[in-house]
Amino acid sequence: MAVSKEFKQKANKALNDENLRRALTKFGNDYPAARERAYAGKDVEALRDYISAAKRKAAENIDELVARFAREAEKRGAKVFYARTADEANEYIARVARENGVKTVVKSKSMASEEIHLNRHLQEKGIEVTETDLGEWIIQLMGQKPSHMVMPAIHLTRKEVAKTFSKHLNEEMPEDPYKLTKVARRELRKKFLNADMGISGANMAVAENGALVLMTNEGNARLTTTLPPIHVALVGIEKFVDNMETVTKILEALPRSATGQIITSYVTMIDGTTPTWKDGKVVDKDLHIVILDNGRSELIKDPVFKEAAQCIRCASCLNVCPVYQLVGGHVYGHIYAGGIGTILTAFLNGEDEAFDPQNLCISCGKCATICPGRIDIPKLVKELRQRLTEKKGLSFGENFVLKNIVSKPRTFHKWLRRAKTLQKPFAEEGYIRHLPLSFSKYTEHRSLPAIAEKPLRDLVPEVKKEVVKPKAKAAFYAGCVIDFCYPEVGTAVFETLQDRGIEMEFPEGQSCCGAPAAYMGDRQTAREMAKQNIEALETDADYVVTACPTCAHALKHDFIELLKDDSEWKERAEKLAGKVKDYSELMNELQSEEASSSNAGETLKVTYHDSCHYNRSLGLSDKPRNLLKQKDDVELVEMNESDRCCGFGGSYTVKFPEISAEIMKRKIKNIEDSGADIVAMDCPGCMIQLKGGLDKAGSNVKVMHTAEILAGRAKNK
Amino acid sequence: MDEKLVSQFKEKAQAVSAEVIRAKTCEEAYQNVLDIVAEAKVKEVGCVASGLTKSLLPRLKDSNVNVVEEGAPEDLERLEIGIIPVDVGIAETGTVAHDATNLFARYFSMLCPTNIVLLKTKDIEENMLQAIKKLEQKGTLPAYTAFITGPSRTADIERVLTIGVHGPGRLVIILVDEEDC
Repeated sequence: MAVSKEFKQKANKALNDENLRRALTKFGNDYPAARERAYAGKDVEALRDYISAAKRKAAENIDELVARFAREAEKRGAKVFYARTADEANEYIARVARENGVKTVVKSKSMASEEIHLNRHLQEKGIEVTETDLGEWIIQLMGQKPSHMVMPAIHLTRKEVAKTFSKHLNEEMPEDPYKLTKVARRELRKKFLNADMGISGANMAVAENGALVLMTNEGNARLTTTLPPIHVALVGIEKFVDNMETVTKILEALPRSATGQIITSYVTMIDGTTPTWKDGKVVDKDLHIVILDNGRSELIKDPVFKEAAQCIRCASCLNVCPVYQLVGGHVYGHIYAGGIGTILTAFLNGEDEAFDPQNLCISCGKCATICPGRIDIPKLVKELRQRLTEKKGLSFGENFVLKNIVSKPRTFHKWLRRAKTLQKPFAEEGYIRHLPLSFSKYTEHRSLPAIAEKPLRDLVPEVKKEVVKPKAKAAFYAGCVIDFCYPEVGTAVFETLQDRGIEMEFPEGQSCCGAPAAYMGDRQTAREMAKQNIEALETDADYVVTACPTCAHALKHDFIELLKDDSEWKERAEKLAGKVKDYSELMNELQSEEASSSNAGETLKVTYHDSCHYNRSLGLSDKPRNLLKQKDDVELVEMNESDRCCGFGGSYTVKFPEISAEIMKRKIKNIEDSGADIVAMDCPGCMIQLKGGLDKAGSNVKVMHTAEILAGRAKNK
Repeated sequence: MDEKLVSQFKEKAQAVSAEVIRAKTCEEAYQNVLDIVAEAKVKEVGCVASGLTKSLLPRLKDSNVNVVEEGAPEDLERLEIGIIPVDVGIAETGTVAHDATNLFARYFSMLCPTNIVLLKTKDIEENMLQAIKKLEQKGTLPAYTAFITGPSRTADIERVLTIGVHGPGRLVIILVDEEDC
C-alpha cells in the first residue's frame, strides 16, 4: 500500500510552514549540545543500560506491578480503578465528577488524557475543563493538538499566542512571551482556585509504595494536585516501575534527555491521600488513580513491540529526528509523534492510523543511539511496516517492480541494460538532470545517476588480475548501485585489494540484496532474494567483500533473520554472514606495501560523510578515516554534523522527495562549509543522493567512495 | 559538613536562578529573612512554624510583620512572601525537598510569588537517592513530597525562558550552619 496522497500533501504543507521550521530548527540545533552539557559527568551508557533493563523487567511483570501498586495506594487511602479501554477511563472519571457535583476541572499535562479524548468527554457532560500547562492551554484555546510530547506548542509563534489570548480575553495582548506568561498566570490562577477537580497524568507509578511521580517546570501539577478537593490521576500501565531506585534513575535521564535540563523545577511525589481545603476546613483529599490499558498490554505482550514499553516519554527521539525537525508533530496524525509515536499509535489507536505516518521514518537510526530506554525505534518501525504490508499488501507499482523485476536477476539486469538505452535522451556526464512530466519532481532537487555504459560485471575481466601468492581470496558482492551505476567503485575495490594481495572474484549469480523489498515491508520477496544470493556466494573465497553498508547489513544480519524459520537455510545464511567483510574494514587489516606516492606535496582536502548504516549498523566510521589519513596526498577535514543523514533512505526519495531534498540541503551546506575538494563516503546510496544534490547545486565538491580515493583516482577528477 | 557538597549545591541552585544565602547561626538566618521582608516592603507573610521556622515567628512579630499561619488558599495567595522549612538539599542538582503533607506549607511554597526556604547546611545530600532515603525515615515516603529546583519556569512560548509562571518567580534558599535551633 502506498502512502496516501492526502498524507503527502499534509507533510508538504508542514514542510513549507516557515514558523514551524524556524522553531524546530532552532531547537534541533540547540538540543545536542544542551543534552551533552546536562549529561556531563554522568555515565550515560550505564544509565541507559539500567533504565532499559528496569523498564523491560517492569513490562514483563506488569500484572504483578499493577496489583502491588493498587494494594499499596489503597492502603494509603487512594481509590484505584483499572480501565481496560479509553471508554472505561472516560466513564469512570465522568462518574466521579457527577457524583461529586463537579462543574470545573483543571488539568496538568497528560498525554494519556489526550489519547482518550478525556476533555471532549467531560465537556459533553457540561463540565468546564481547563488545561493549565501554558503550552497546553494555548493549544486548547486554539482548538489544536500538541505537536511535541514535552513542548506541546513549539510550533506556534508569540504573535499567534498574543492573538489567541487577545481573542479569548477580549483585551489587546502584547507580543511578549514574558507578559503573555504573566497573563496566563493571572487567568489560570483563578481557574485553579475555583476548580472542583484536578486531573493529572504521572511520569511514573511506583509499585513498592503506591506513589505517583510528577515532573513539571511550571508548577501547575503541584497546584492541580493541591488546590481542588478531588484529584484524579490517569496513568498508563507503561509508566509503572518497581521501586524508588528506578525512579531516581529515570529522574536522572528524563529531563536531561527531554530538554537538556538536569532536573525539572518541580518533582512531586504523591503517596496516598493528602490534606486539602474544602468548605473552610482541612479534610482528606479524594484521590482516584485510573490505571489505563487501552491497547498497552497488547503492546507489552508482543514479542517484538514490547520493547516500546521501555519508553520514558522524554521525546529525545523527536529532538534528533531529521524528519520530525522538518515536519513537526501534527503530521503524525493522532497524539504521539515521531517514530515511537507511530508505534504507540498503532497499538493505542489502531493500525490504520499508523500506516501513513510510519512511512515518515527514514531509518537513519539516530534516535536509537540516544534513547534512554535503548529502544531500536527504526527496527520497530520496519517491523510495523512489514506487518502492515503483509496485511494490506504493496501498491500495484511496488508489487510489480519487486515481484516481477527486482527479485528476478535475469529480468532485473535486462531491464537495467534496457534502461541504459532509454535514458539516452536525458543522460549527460553520468547524470539524469531533468525528467519530463510527472517524473520531474524526482530531478527537481538532485540529478539522478545514469545507468553506467558497462556494468561492473562486464568490466570484471578487464580489472581482474592474477595475484601471486595471495593472502586471501575474496568474492566481491557489488550490490545493484555499484554494479550498474557506479562500476568505477567496484573496479577501485578490485584494484586496491589486489594491490594488497587479495585474489578477487565476482560471483555471477549475485543479485539485489533484497533490502529495498525489506524496507518497503515485503518480507516474502526479501526472503527469496536472500536465498538467491546465498547460493551465488557459496564459493571457496575466504571473504565476501561489500562496499555498501545496506548490502553488508543484509548479508550479515537480515538474511539470518528472514530465514530463521528454515533451519537448513538459516545455517547457510549464518555461514555466509561469517565471511562478510566491509571493504574499508578489510583494507584496514591489510598492511600497505606500496610506498606512498606523494605528488610534490600537493594535497586534496577530503571530508568524510558518515553514512547512517555504515556508521550505526556496522559501527565502522573510524576505518575509512584511518585509511584516508594514511594517504599522503589527502588532508582529512571534518565537516559539521558528519553523522547526520543525507536524506537518501532508498525508496524514501520516491515516497517523500521534498523531505529528502530538505534533509539533503543541510548536508550539502555542511559539506561546502568544510572547504573540502572531495566528500568521501562508504555508501553507494549516499553517493546517489549527494552526487545528485551537489551536481544540481552546481557545487565543485566531488563525491567519491573511499575505494576510489584509495585507488588514486582523486587527482583525475 | 562537607564543604564540597555545599559549594556544589550553591552553584547548581544559582545556575537555575535560585538565590542562596549562607548563615552561620539561626539568628543570622532570621535576620536574613527579616531583611528580605523589609526590602520587599511587605507587612504580612505566610509561614508555618515548625523546625527551623519555629523561633522565626516571634522575631517576625517583633518586627511588626504579621504572620499568617493558615487560611483559605484564595486568601493566602495574596501574600507576597511564603516561608517554609525544608528537610533536605541535593548537591548534584541544587534542589531542596520537603515533606509537604502539611497543606499550608504547600500553599506558602506554591502560591506566593516569593518563596523563602530554610535548610540546615548539614542536610545537604549528594544525590536524589540519598535525599529520598532521608525523606523515607518514617519507613515510607511522606504522602506529599516536593522537590524544588529554582523558581517556576516555562519556555512554552517560542522557547523563551520565563520565570514565575504558576509557582514562585523568586526562590531564596537560606542555608543554616548552626545545628540546634
